[in-house]
Amino acid sequence: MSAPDTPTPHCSCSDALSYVYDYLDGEVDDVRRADIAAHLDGCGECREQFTMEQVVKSLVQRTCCEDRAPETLRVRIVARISEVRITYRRSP
Amino acid sequence: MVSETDEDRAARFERDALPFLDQLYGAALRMTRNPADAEDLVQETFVKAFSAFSSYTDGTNLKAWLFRILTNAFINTYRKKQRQPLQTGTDDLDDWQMRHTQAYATGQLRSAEAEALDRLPNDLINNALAELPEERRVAVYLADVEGFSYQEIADIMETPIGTVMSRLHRGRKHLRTLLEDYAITEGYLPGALS
Repeated sequence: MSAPDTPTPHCSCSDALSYVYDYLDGEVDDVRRADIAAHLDGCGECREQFTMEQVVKSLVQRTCCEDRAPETLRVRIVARISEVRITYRRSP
Repeated sequence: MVSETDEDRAARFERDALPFLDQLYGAALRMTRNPADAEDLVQETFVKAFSAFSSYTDGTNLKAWLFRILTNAFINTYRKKQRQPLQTGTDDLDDWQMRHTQAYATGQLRSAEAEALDRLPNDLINNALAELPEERRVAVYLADVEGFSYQEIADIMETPIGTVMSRLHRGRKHLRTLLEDYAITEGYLPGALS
């Protein structure tokens, strides 16, 4: 892994791939982001790896964003909160 | 500072915290893998959050605060109640990685793979997620679905940031292997080595 303070103009494939998750998760600084983006521009192999990881990330998003809590749960929670408030008020 | 009445606090809670119900339920569903347990866990989370709401400071990250209570409730209450052993996941990453690298070595196969995975139906993706060891599953969920930063996930899971990164790394590698297996067995992708 390269030292963070000495970015090379074009990082290597192994450098780029070691940051694939950090990059896709928005956890790299601007310098490294630019470095990796420059590498991806010139490297189809790495670009495909990054695309694959992005696809997996998007699949998880797509599947899980469908979840909706049942309306009965909302009603139950509001009722429980009222109960908790009453218990509080009664306690000294 | 003006002290808040009991009524004001309840109204503020319903206005600010309750809108996260669907998101907390979605996370609870991934944690427990069971709708009935997910409902109980979310209810417990809201009751705990309401009881502690006077200590929550307005303007700080309410969503992360709620997810922390949820994760805590899951680990400390729900899982203990179920008497389930801690699912930490074994360190068999290298096997997956090896297999993966062997199966899809060429770029051509990889782009076919991306398209195939993209066509997988949601229930297969759900099954794959459910197969991940718990800590990896939760880390992946918090990052990919809720978009929490590594630091926020570290706070929510009460673990060092390095552990979060390792869980994400392993969880995603594992998930990708599972999805590839599904894609092959369900005929979305030809078996690369067969």
